[in-house]
Amino acid sequence: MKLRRRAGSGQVIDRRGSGGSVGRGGLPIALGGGGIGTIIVLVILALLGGIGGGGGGSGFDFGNPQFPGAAPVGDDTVSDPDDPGGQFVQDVLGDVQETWTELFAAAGKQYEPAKLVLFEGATQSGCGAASSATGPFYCPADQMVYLDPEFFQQLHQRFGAPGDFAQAYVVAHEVAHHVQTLLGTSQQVREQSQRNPDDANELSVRLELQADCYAGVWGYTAAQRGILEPGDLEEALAAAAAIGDDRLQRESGGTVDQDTWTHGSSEQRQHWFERGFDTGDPNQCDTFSGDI
Amino acid sequence: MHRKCDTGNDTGNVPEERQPLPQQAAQPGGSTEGFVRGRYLAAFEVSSFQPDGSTERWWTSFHDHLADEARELVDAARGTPIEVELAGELSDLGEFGHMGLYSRELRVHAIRRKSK
Repeated sequence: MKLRRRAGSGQVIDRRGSGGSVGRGGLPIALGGGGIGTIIVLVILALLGGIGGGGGGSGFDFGNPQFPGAAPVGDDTVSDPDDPGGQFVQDVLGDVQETWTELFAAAGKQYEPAKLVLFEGATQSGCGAASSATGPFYCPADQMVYLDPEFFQQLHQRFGAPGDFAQAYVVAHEVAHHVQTLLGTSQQVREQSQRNPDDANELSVRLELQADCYAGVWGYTAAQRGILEPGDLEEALAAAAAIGDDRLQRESGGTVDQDTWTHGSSEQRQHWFERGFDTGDPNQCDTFSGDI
Repeated sequence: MHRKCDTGNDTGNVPEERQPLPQQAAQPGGSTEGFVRGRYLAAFEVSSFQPDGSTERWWTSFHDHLADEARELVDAARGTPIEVELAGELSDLGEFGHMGLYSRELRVHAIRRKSK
């Protein structure tokens, strides 16, 4: 893909080389109510133009709360021209978030960008410790993505999913979780999962597949802008398949057990990424209604 | 706030709210080190430990000195959970890990596996 090189926007926080120390404690958050029915209604309302809390009467609060788990003073943004990995993540993140800024604006709302923390070894997040052993994740408490770029090597070497667009898919997937947080979907899923732990895995799968679909929506815009290159879509689909629950279970030598899935099968992940990529429409990403 | 995981001390204490933890881990405020048995699962965006006898899932991270051992565990548990005993500091109830979907954080300082 042909990304525009971006100057530091403050969206990437570079903690690499900071020693990998992890402080104590997480950030427990007050719990609330909700349910699967609410999730469906909320997602539909949000994606039909009701997203945001800018006075549209949607009931969503898009204020700008201060999170105690936010980056500590002393974090650096990516600024080294000899750091292509960091620059790439910064470029992808900026591009993805520009897309969501425009999609939110089209709905008359304001998108609040997420931040992304680059780390190596371990670091502290608003959701507890992040360690490279566990791969990337998104923390709704501080609205940050945590990524050790070493994961991209794993994606290539261990999971057999090379290529820059495979990596971009991972970043877009994590940003999609931020979109879900802004839309209130994440909170609804957490509440429902806490009330009904037996439904937690299915809700998680639906949440993750929606994130794949949102990542595909970004991919659609990238294609429309002519920044994709031959083979890019295939790279993303390979990455989506590589981290499918059924493939991971099969490769571990274990039994493929759908009840234990948290992210969906390779086929499901590809399907929902393609749904977003083909339509470019987040309204087509309602994974909470019907079969997936 | 984290506390040490305990084991084998049958006081019957029940921490906070929601489902009681299994006896092996149900020692709020305890300070005795010990191992908790359960199943650990690693995958994309997943580092989950579910204690035996509980529906809770704990976001699991590892102390720096366990780097190699942690990687071995993650590799062994990728996609399919494995039985393991973990010791470390356990948080109070909250929302931890990826998407805040884990009820506690376990910061592991010792790993005991039955077989590799």
